[in-house]
Formats: sequence, C-alpha cells, structure tokens
Amino acid sequence: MLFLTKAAQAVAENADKIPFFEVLEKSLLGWLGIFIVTIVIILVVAIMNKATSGKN
Amino acid sequence: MQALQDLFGNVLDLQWQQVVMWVIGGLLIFLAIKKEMEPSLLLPIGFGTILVNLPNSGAVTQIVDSIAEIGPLNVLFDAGVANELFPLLLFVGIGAMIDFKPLLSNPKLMIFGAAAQFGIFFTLCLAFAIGFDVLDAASIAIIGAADGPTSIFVATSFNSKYLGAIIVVAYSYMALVPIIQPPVVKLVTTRKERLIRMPYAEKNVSKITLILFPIVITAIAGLVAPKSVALVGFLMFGNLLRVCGVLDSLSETAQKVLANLITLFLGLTVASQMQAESFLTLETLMILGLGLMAFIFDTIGGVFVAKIYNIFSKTKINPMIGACGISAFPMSARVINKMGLEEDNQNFLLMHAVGVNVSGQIASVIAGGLVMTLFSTYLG
Repeated sequence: MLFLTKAAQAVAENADKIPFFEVLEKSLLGWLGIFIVTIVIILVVAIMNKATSGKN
Repeated sequence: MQALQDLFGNVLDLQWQQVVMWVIGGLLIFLAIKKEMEPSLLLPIGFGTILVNLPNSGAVTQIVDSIAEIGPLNVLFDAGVANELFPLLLFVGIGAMIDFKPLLSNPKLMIFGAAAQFGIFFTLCLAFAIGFDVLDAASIAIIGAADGPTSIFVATSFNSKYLGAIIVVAYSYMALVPIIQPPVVKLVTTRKERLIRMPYAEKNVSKITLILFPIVITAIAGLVAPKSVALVGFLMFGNLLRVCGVLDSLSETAQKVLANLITLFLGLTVASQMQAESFLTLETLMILGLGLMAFIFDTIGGVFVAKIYNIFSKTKINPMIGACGISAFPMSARVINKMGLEEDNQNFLLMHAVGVNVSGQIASVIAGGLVMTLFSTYLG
C-alpha cells in the first residue's frame, strides 16, 4: 500500500516535469533506431560477403 | 579507559544496516564461489561490499575533523569508473574474444539482436512511470542490455546514484539467464514452433570481410549515434586486433591480461558504491524488479520478432533463437540450444543461436549509445 502511494505520488510529480509520452516517444525511436542501424549493417555485410566471396 | 575507547570505540559505530550489507557481500561471494555465478565480478564486488561497510572504513573516503581522508577505492573509482575508462578498456578485451563468423555467415540474424533490446526501452518507460528520474530510469533500463560495461558506462554518464545496485543486478541476472529465459520462452512459443529444425550449413567468410566488419560497424554506429563511438569503437578495436592476423600477442594480451586486470579493478571499485546508506533503499528493490522485467521483455521481444519473421518467410526459423539476442554471451546461446535438444534431440540450434547471441553484443552497445544520444538532453 505504501509502495502504491509512493508510486502514484511520484507519477504525479513526474508528470509536472517531463511528459510520459515524450519518454515513450524517445524509447520507441530508440528501438526503431537499432533496427534501422541493424538493417544498414546487414546490407553492408551482405555486399561485403558478395564482393569478397572466393577471396581470402 | 581512554586507550580502550580509542582501540574499540569504532565497534560502537557499527550500524545494523552495515551488518546487512556484510550478509549481502557474503551472499555475492557464496554465489560466485559455490554457484560459479559470474565469479570474476561478483567475488570482488562481494568482498568490496564488506570492505566499504566496516565503520569508518579506510577503504573509502572519510571526513575526519572536516578533512577528507581519501580512500583507495574512491581513487580507483575516480580514475577508472567516474570517467568511464575501465568499462571501455574491458570492451577491448571482450571484442578480442568475440568470433563474428557465425553472424557474418548469416547476417540477417542481426535483426533478432535488435529485437531483443526491446526490454531496455520497455523498462525505461516503466521505470519512469513508477517515479524514477528519467536519467535514472535510462540507467536502470540499460540492465536489459545484459552487458556489464555498457551498464556501467551509461549509468556513469548519467551520474546515476544507483550505480552500485544497477551493476550488481545486471551481473546477477546475466548469471541467472538459464533460470530466467526458459520459462519465458516456453510461455510465448508453442511446442510446434520449438520443434522447428534449423539445419546449419557452414558458409565461408572471407578474411577481408572479417577485417572490414569492425571498421564498418564503428563507422555506421558512430554516424547514427555519436555517443556510441566510444563503446562500439573500443569493442570493435578489440575485435580488429583479433582478426587482423598480425597482432596475435596484442590480441592475447587484450583477451587475458587486460580483461582480467580491468575486471579485478572494476569489481572492487564498483563496491565503493555499495555503502549501506545508498544500497539499502526501497529503490534497490524496485531496481531488482525492473532489471528482471528488462530481461523478460528482451526475451519476449526477440521471440516475437522471430515469430513475425516466420509469417513472411518461406524458410521458417525456430523462434527460440530470437531470445538469444540478449548480450549474455554465450550463456543464452547454450540455454536455447539445450531447450531445442530437449524438444528434439536432433535439432542442433547452437550455431544459429551463437550468431544471434553475438549480434546481441553489437545491438546492446548500439542501444546504449542511442539511449545516451536520446536522453542526454535531460542532463542538467
């Protein structure tokens, strides 16, 4: 009960400072960003593999 | 009488909270030695916890008659942790240990490394929602990277006051992956999915690709998230030492001497953050819970993206390998391989699991860099 009260209090305090949706947006952007970087790396590696196949 | 007071007076300064920390330190040492859970970190942290929780301990800075008596652990902390140097040097050693061939022979596995960082961002929102300051929430969420140096690097950059708790929780859960992951994977997969076979055909990866890979990764990650350059760069530099073929002695030094030396310093130094007044708080319990959430949702994120992949792909993959996208290498790969063999003793998932697990190392470091890039605007 004490924990829930403290958590609710903290949410109310936080709400005045940084909007939750701003944090949510940045978090989603962060996860999406990893995917974008990963896809670029996959493409680059695929090109490197193709270009260097048969060489050593 | 005064002499007795001088000799034994310190005992009277002992507080019950410090005794609790001795028990915690003893537990970490027990887990390290008896259960062999991440002994290279948990043992020095455990012993250091006892060191710093002795009353008026000379191991940490004490204020005596308004004069600061600097403790050696604080000297080490300022020299290597506060300036983020130790985790970066450790990354050189870790990079030198990693073999990227299983990943480079099937690069699309990297997508599951990215997917399995979901727990970081989920936990970040959760930690913020329950009342942590946004930078502390980000530092706690990075436990989900399942990577000690990244956790230390980000938490230190954000000046998180929960550094000690974050590191102990991160390393403890990394060691508990064989307990955490299997029930979560079974919960989100069907038996039919767990039985999917993935035959492995070794593809040759050229030496040029092995050499170019760390350079290219550093450039790409650095362009997108400049704050990740130190993390990614040091990791990839270590890997370049390994694959270049002309620096075997440096590679061996990085893998063994450097990694061991830094691990030694890091464990003891981090313990300087384990003083009772900062560790024995409600927030530490919350961090324990949040860290677990991060690992659970990392696992769920990786598996779900693998299931989505199967919807669009003709060649099905076993969705369990998605769970290997967390950076707990090679523990997670072994866990998933074992789960695969339990379902079908002819289904060897190890090489695929290792490929995904290795990609998780890269993805977790990029995640750390992106978190720093996106949330450093909140630094005062």
